Amino acid sequence: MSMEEGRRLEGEMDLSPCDREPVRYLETIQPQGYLLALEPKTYRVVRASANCESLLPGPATSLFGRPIAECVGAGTFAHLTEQLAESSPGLVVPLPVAWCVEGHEEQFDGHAQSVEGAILLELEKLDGGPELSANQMRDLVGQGVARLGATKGIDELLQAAVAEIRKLTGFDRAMLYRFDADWSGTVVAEEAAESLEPYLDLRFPASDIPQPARELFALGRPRVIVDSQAEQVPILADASAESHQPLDLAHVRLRGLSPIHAEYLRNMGVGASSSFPLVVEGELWGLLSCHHGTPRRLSMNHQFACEMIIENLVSKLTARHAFAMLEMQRQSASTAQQILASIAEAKSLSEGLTLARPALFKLVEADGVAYYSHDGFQTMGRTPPREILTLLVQWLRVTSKPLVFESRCLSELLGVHPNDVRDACGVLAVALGSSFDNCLLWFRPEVVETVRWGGDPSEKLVSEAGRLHPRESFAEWTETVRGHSAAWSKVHLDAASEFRGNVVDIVASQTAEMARLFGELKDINYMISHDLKAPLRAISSLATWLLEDHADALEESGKELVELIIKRALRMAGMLEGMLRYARLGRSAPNIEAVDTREVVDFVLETLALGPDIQVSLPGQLPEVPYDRTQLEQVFQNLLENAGKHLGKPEGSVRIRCIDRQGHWEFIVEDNGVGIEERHLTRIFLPLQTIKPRDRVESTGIGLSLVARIVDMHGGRVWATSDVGQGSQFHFTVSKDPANQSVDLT
Amino acid sequence: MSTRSITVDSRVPILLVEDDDVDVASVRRAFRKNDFKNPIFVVHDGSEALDYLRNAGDYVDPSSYPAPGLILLDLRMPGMNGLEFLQAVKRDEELRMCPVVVLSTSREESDVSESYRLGVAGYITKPVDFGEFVEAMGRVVSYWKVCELPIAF
Repeated sequence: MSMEEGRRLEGEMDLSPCDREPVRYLETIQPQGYLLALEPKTYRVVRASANCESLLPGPATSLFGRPIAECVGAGTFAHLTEQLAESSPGLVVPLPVAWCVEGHEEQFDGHAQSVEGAILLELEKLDGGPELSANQMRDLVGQGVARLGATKGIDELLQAAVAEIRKLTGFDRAMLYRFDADWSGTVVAEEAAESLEPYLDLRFPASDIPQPARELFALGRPRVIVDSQAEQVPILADASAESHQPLDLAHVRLRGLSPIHAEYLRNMGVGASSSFPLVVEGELWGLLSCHHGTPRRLSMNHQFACEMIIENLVSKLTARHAFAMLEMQRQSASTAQQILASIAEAKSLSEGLTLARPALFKLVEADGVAYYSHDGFQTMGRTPPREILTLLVQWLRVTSKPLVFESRCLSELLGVHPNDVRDACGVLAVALGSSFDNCLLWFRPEVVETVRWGGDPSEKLVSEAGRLHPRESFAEWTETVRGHSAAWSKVHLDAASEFRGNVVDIVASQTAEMARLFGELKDINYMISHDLKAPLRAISSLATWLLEDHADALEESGKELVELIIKRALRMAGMLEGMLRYARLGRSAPNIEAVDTREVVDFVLETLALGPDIQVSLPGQLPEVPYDRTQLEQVFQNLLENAGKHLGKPEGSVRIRCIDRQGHWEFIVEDNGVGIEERHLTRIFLPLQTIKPRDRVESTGIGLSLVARIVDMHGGRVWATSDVGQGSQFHFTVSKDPANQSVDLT
Repeated sequence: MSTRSITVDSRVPILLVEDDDVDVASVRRAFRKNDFKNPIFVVHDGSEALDYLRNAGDYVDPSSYPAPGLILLDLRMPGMNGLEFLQAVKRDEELRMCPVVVLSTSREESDVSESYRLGVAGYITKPVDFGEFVEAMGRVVSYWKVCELPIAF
């Protein structure tokens, strides 16, 4: 190793060189057996483990070039060729082997497999400690499976499994090691001799089971180490053989153990270990690992029984895991449905999100939500301060992160002080389009976590004579992790991702629908402007000419009727004009500026012809407000016109005043007219509603709805109160903050 | 542009481009009420109007169909509509010199701005009340009558 790598290591406290150690190609085996490599076509021996000499009169190399048929019984050879004819990569076939070479006859448990360029034959000695009869094995496996079946949930299942395996193997310790997302792992279930320090709940760094080892475990094969301190046996190769490529020992049971691993086990006080990988849905989920203080061998039947129980464990685990995931997915789907329903019903996305508040939090188990759009931030619950939100969104926008992004530690991400984001230091962000210009952010608060490591994971690795050494102590070492939120689980990330897709679809279809409706509305407006008004004008003109040209023939009563025709045509024209004005209102954003209300009222009164006997009074001050000037004029014009028309008498008084409320002003236009019955008070603000018989009032029924629309667009509220016979009061509010001139949704 | 000009008098004809018979009658009646004697020629859509101005189609004889000094144009017509007519006129070096006043039912902003972009001299929304219409037409024609016009018309 170069000096540079050494320095990097010290800084990063990581055993990452182990990630490069080619453990599957280390050409050694453990000493409890023998390995032969055969040339595939000829079945001649091309490699042999050095300890084969104990099976021979000469050295192991004397096997080179010999056909295997000369070394094993005829039955064995027939069995071998027959089994291997149907073998596929990764398939390891057990077969009994009768060895007979020059007077040395011995029975072995054999395993054969085909690898690239060779056939591998492993022989394991039969003296594997106490034997287990077929009946005993059947009982043990049956009982174990029954116990696993009697458990509920995943935690109980794992606990039962370690108990069964420890009982079966007689090892000092059996534990279940579960991998985290970062490949560190935690012991989640344990059965151990009382004399041993428990490992339960301890966490081990990812480097303890480095990448190449995890890769081998992911193949699903158990790893048995009989004596961690035994000297490993080299595999010798026939120099005259054609193939010199390294042997792939991935599936070899006897595969030798690397010096670092041997040292690791020694530091841990482990003489023998058996590890069974738990591969759930194609992924390495955990390991069931057994340790023993001294070397220990298990008979083939014991190993087989363990594998049976592990198989059963994995299938139960897979099923329960899948069920738990399904249940969580079902819940998050139904939560997502609630939110989507709110969004579909609401007038805007932000309104929909507000309505769905509890479900929105529940979807990913967040404590706070921020919605960012071109209107700025809308926040609910516990979120970071505004400036940090701004920083976060900027960061997301410029670094072009994936459209679903998560972090547990905002302070690290943004380089801000952890105290500033304590309430919301975990973020799950989804872009609601093709960028974070429009996005939803969920937040989780800090969870101060105490991690109990199995030994100090940052303990310096000593590099002496070019070799690495793992840490020496596995005593519990506690670390307090701050500034992090609880991790975002895959279920929540998936839920957020799917939710994002649905929202994007809804927004797209709503936008398209809006565009379509808007187009239609424009067509209708155009039609009203041109086509409906033309015939009206013709009616009015023709009626006028009738009066002008044929007055004599009509007599008085006929003239009255024709005059009525003209009046009605004119009123209809007025209504059409009003509808057009109402429809035009939403087309462009209001132009907000500081408007002097007094000036507006004076201007309106000047242009408006209220009857000469109607007194208008303006007691008190009228403030300056942030508003669209023309629209404020329309508000006062319509309210005053309405008051004038509905006095119900030729004389009367109208009063305009303003009350300063906190955050907003309330304007009141009141008259001393006939008043409005309570049941009409809400209806009057709807378009085309007039509550008087139409012949008596020249009203188009548009005025008040126009007022309501304008006030609503400015984020205010409009309502009417009345005492019948005494008069009516029309109220509307104006926010003092120009930024609130759109509907406030938080 | 011509350097010569003529003064509008009651002999200068007006071309009314209008498909609605009642509106045609309205214009005639409004002229009468305002005591305007100028001859009014009526065509019913944009392409007829172009034929008239170019002495083509049914209007080949320039003595029967003299060049107008003013065009009163409706916008919404079957066949070639008012805006399309204005576009055609604008592309025609000679025709574009004749003043056009739009008489429309619509006060749609897009119609108004598009008409002015195409070079109209004025845009009037036809009031529903006939009395107001008479008044409006009176103003248009009195204004026109005090104008000098290029000689081609």
